[in-house]
Amino acid sequence: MNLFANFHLSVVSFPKRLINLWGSAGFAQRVPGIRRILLPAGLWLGIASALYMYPNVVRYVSLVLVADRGADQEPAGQAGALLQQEIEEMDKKIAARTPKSHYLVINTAANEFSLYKGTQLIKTDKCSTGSYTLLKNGDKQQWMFKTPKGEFRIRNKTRSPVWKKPDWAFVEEGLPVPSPNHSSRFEYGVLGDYSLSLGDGYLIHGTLFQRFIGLPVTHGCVRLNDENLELVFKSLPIGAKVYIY
Amino acid sequence: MVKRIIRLSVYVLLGLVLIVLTMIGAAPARKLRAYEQAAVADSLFMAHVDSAYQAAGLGPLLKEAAYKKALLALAAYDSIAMIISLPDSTVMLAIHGVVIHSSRISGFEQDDVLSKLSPIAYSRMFSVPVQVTGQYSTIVKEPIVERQAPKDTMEASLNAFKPDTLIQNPGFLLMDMEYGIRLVLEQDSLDTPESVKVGRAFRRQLVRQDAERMFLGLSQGTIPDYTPTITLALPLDDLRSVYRALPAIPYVVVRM
Repeated sequence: MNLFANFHLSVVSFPKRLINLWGSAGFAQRVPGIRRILLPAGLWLGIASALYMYPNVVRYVSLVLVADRGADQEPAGQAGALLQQEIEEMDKKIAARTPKSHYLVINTAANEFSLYKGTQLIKTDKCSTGSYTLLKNGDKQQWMFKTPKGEFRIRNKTRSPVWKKPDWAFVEEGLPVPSPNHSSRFEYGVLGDYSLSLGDGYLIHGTLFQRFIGLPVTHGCVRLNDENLELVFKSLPIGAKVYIY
Repeated sequence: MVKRIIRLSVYVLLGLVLIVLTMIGAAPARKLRAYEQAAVADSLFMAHVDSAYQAAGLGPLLKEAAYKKALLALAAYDSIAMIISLPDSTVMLAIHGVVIHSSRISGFEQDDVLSKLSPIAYSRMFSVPVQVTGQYSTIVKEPIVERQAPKDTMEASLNAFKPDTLIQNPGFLLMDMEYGIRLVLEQDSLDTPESVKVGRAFRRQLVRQDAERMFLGLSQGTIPDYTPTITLALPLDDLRSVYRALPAIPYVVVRM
């Protein structure tokens, strides 16, 4: 109990005495509010701050004790040279992954495309990609108009393409769906002067509605304006890579 | 007597508070030690560890080598993945080893636990792409707009050539990754009242998660589990592009 009493004396009574001493000395004596409110408030604030800082101090000290201290010194010696060589070899392998010839990168969230040749950026501009519209035809049919993501290749290139309208194009217009090879399915001039096929019916093509370029308005294809379409058509050979994200 | 009991109770309470605060403060060090022990216990990994890992001073080169190994491993994956390079302040998207998007990080905070990892533990964790185990975002992944087919051409003409709504939410993204690491991506400017509100709610959720984990640990009488966090600030447009590009369970390469 003596130990407890001594602890109490040192932990609680000592600061209290200090406060009293300071208080009786002058200003605090004349202004009772300071002794009654501000001093205890200050004391509690001090305790609260100490308690708040305490875990951070423990965190810092314990991390320093556990951490490996040799990690950030300057590298030296033969092991360092060998490691550097290994890194350079890996750099070469990584660089070899980037196509050397032309390739196209399409950002569907921003509706932008970038045409590259190796690491050189040739052109970046607006395009239009899928609208993310889910078209429902009652409970029977539904179509999702989104541009697929991933790595693709140019499968085919066509000048003056003709659009063979799929079923959804008629459903979307409130028209009856004709037979597969009905003449009403074929439209001329609506895809612009060129088209590049990515497979599965997805194309890079032009549009009559160039004011919508930069907006997500397509049925999954990628639309470019006339100038960009010509550049892309002439730059990308069949087999060229197209990255869509 | 009553005074003494009250006084004793206050000391007991103070002692308990100090114990709890010590446990909370020691949680990061415990996590760091767990990472170190896991690396040493991983016999498959340790079989490839040579003397270079033990040599003092090779830390930066070993980290660089781990990053390059992870990039090469990432090139084998078919899906789009994220690369975070804190020394370059860039976030990139890559597929098959080709970088298809690069964005400048406006600001970042890196956890002490991760920056104090030994070369062995760092290489074990970050020389391969890290898998995301769960994610939450205020950005809509696929802004799908549902429409019923028009009954006739008259009804269709009402909607003709009308661009779809552009759904633009404030951007806050949380990714829980392997090894109990948390990645937080935030938009770098809170320029609208909605973004301020959504940002506050997002951070409250993070604090709530931390508090729940802390209380769970403390209630079991153990040092609570700690979640090392990397926080990145990106322009909103880039954040949206990155999030929408990534698959549901993406891989991330981290360089610190």
